[in-house]
Amino acid sequence: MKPGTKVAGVHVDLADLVAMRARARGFSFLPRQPIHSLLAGRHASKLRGRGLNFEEIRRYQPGDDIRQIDWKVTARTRQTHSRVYTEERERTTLLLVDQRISMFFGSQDRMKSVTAAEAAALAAWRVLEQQDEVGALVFDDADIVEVRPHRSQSAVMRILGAVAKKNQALRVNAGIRSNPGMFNEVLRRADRLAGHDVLLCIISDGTGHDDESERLLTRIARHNDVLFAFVFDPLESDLPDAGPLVFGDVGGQLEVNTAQKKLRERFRDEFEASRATGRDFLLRRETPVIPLNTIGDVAEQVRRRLGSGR
Amino acid sequence: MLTLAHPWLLALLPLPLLVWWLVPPYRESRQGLVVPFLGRLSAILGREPAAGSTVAHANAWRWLVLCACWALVVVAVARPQVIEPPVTKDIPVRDMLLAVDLSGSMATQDFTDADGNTVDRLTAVKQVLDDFLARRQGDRVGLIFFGSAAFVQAPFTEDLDVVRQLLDEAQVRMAGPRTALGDALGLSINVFDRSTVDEKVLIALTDGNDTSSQVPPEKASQIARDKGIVIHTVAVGDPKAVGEDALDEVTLERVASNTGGVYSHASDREQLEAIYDQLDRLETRKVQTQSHRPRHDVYWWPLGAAMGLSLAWLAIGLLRAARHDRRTRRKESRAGGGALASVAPPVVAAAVLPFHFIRPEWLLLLIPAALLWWRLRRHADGRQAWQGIIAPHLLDHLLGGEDRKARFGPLEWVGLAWLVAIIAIAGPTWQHEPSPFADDTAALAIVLKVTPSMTTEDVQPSRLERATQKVHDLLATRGNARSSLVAYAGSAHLVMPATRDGGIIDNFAQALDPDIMPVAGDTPAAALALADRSLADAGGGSIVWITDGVDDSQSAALADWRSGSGTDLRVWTMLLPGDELDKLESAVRPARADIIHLSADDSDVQALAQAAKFANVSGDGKDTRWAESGYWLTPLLALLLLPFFRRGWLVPASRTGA
Repeated sequence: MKPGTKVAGVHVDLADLVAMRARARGFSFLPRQPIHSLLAGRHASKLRGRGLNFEEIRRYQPGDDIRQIDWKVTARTRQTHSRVYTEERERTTLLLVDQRISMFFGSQDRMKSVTAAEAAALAAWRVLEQQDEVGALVFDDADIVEVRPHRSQSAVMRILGAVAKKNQALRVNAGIRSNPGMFNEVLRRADRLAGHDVLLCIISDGTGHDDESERLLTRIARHNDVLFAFVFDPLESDLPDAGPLVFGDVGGQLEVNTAQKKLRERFRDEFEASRATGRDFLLRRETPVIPLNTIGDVAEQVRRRLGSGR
Repeated sequence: MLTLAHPWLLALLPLPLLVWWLVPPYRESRQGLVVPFLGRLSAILGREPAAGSTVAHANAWRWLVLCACWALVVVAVARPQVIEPPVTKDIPVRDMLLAVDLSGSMATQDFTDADGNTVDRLTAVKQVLDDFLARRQGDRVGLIFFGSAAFVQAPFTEDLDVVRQLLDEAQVRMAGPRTALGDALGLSINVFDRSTVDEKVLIALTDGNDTSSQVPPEKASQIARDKGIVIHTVAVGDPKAVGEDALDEVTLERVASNTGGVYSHASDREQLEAIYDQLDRLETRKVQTQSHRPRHDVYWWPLGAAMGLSLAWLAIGLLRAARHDRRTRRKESRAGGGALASVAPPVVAAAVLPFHFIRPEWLLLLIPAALLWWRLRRHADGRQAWQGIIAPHLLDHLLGGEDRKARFGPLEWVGLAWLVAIIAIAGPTWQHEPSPFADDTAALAIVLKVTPSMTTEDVQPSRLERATQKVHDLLATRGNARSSLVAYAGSAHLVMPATRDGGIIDNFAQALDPDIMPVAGDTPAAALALADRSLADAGGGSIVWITDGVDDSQSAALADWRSGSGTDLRVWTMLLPGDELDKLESAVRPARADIIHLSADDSDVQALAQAAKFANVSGDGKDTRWAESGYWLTPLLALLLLPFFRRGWLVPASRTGA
C-alpha cells in the first residue's frame, strides 16, 4: 500500500476513529450494569465506593443491601423501599492499545489492529461522554506513546491520532520484528501511571503474556479495575483445511499441510488452552474479558458485552 | 525381439544421485501469508521456519514415481528397438553388355533356326541371345547395336524381358551397313562408366571386320582392360570370306585376349549356341544376397509409460489437494481454452508435409497435459492457495516474502518435459528411413507428348525442347532413382524402360522429334497405360505427364485409365498461362491429376522430384518407413528430468502425497 491510500479493514485513519464517536453509545464502563451483563455481580461489588449521588428510591428487591433500606419511606408506605446511589463519576480510564505487528492480521472483515483501534476509539469517546478523564498508552513493537489522562476532547484526539499513526505504520514487508516483551513493558508503564482507582482497559491479543505479566496485572488490579478486550481472529484458532499452505513472518516461511486433521486439532486445542489459562487467570483477579472478533462490527460486540438499553 | 541399440547408455541410471548430492537444494521463495502464530505452528510441527525461502519436502512415493520415470526415460535413451524378421534382397554384382552387329552382312542366310529352316544370321543370333538372356536372371544386362555407328538399345536393367523385347526389335542395317566394332567398344566403355558394380562383362558379336570405326578395336580394348572390362568376342559367318565381309579373326582374338576374355567363332547355329553356353558357364550368374533385419524404434513405449505415470501422479496429487480445498474456486473453465490454444500451433504445423507425426493420435495427450499443467499452475500460485480463506482486500496486505522464485521453476520444467515427451511419442518425422537396399526412391515414368503442337515456340526455345531440358533437370535431381520414358503421339511407345541410368533417358528424350513418331494424333491414355506397365516392372512409382493439350476425344479414355489404375499422376504443363492452359486443366480432370505449372526457375522440378520420391510404392507399407526422429528428443527429455532430483525441486501438487 502506498502511503496516503487506505483500504478499509486494513488500516484506519483519524477520520474513521473520530467517526466512531457517533457509535459510542449503548454501553457503559460504569458499574450500573444490567442483570445479564458480563460484569454484573462480580464487578459491581468491587468497584470503588458505593457512590454518593442519590439516584432514586425504589421498591426493595431481593439482593439489595439492607443498609440501603430507607426506613422512613418504608414506614410511611408500609412497603420496603431502598435508596439507590450511584458511585462517583470521577473515574479515570487508561486505555492500553496494542498496535504491534502481531495485531496486523485478519482473515475476513478487518485486521486485529483495526479492531483494536476501533475499540479504543469507542472507549475513548464513551469515557469522554461520561465526563471522565481518559488517557492512553499506545504501543507498537518499538515504543509506547503516552497520552496523560485528561477530560477533554483534545486528549481523545491525541489518543486517536497516536493510534491511527501506529496503525498505519503496520506493514507486512516493512521488516517489523515482533516484540512480545512490549506487553510487559506497557503493563509496567501502566502500573506506574495508574496509581489507584483507575479503570485500565487493555485492548490487545495478549501476545507476550507470561508470569511477569501476571504479577504485574495482579499488582495493578489491587488498586484498580482492569478490563481486558481480547482481540482475536478465528483463523488463529482454526486452521483452514486447504492442503499445503505457506505461512510466514519476517523471519522465514513454513509450508504446512493443513489437510492433516491431527495438526488442525492440535492447533485449535493449543489455542483454546492458552486462551483458557489467560482467561482463568484474569477472572481470578476479577478482570472481565471481552472477546473482540475481527469478524463483525466492533461497536456491536462491545454493546453486546457491556451494553445496556441506553 | 526387443533389444537396446545403446545399452551402455543405461550407465546414466545413477546420474540423479550426483544431482542429489552435488547440486545445492532448490530454495523456492513462495508468497506466504504473514501470520502472528508462526511460532506456534512451528512448535507444533517441530520444524523451524526456513529463512526467506523453503526447501520443499517430498515423500517416499514421490521419489518412487520419479525414479521410475527416470528409469523409463533412460531406457528410452538407450533406444529400445524391435528387431523384425530378416529381409533379404539379391543385388546384381555384374553388369553384362551385349553388343550385336547389325551390319548388312548379318542378313546373309547361312544359319538355321531351331526348326531347321534356313534363316539369316541376325535371326539366329536373336534366337540364341534370347535363350541366353532367359538364363541370366539376376544380372543387369544392357544392349548395344552397332553398324556404321553404335547406339545403346537398352541401358543396364534387371528387366530382362524388356531387353529381350528390345533385342527383338533389331533390324539389319538399322545402324547403317558397315561395321564399327571399335566405336561399339568405345560406347560400351562409356556405358560401363556409369555402372557402379565391379564386374563388367561385354559380349561383342560381329560377322565382319571393323570398317568404319574412329577408334581401332585394339586400342579400345586396351582402354577397356584399364577400366576392368572383360570383353568376350564372338564371330559368326564364314572365316574365308574376303573383302567387306571378311572376318578379322586376328583383331577379335586380340581384343578378347587383351581384356582376359574369350574369342570364339561360330559358323552355324549349333556352334553359336555352344559358344553362349560356354559363356554362360564362364560368367556364372553372380548375385550378392543382402540380408537385413529391420529394426524399428520403440523408444516411445517407455516414454509413454513415463508420461502416463507422471500425469497420473500429479493428477492424483492435485485431486487430493482439491478435495481438501472445499472452497469454491471461480472462473475456471475460461482460461482453459487459452491454454489449449497455445498448444494448437504444433498440431497445425504437423499438417505440412513431408514433416508429420507417425502417431499423431498421441498429440491428443497434449489436452489433458495442458489442462493438468494449468491446474497445477493455479495451485502453485501462493496467492491462489489463500483465495477463499482470506478476504481479498486483506490478502493483498498479508502476503509476505516477495515472489523470488525462478522464472523457470519446477512447474515450467514439467510443462516443457511433457511437451517434449508428447512430441517425441507422437514420432515427428520428415524423411524416409534409409532403406538397407538403397532402393527407396520410387520409380518415375515420364510420359512425353511428341506432336507438332509441342514444337510451338511460345515457350522458349520450344515446348518440346523446354520439356527435354526440364526432364534433364528432373533426372539430375533424382540421381540414381529409376525412371522410364514413354513418348506418344497417335501411338504410345516405351522409349526407355525403367533404368537408373538417367543419362540414357536424357539422351533419348533429346532425340525425340514429332517427325519420328509413326502415327500422328493424341493418345495419352494408351501412353499412361504403357507407363503403368513400365512402373509395374520397376516396383511401382508415379507418372509425370508432360503435355500441352489433350484431345477432347480422349476424356473417356482417360477416365477409363483412371478407373483401372491407382498410380499417382502429375501433369506438367508446357504452356504459358492462357486459354490453352485452362483448357488443358479441364481436359485432364478425368484423370484426376495434380497439375504442376512450368516455372521459370527449377521450383517445378524440385516439387516434382520431391513428390515422386514419396510416391506410394507398391507392396506393403514396410517400404515406406519413416525415420523416427523423435528418438533424438529423448536425451533432451532426460536432461529435463534431471533437475527433479535436486532436493526441493518439486512441483507443488506432488508435495501433498503424504
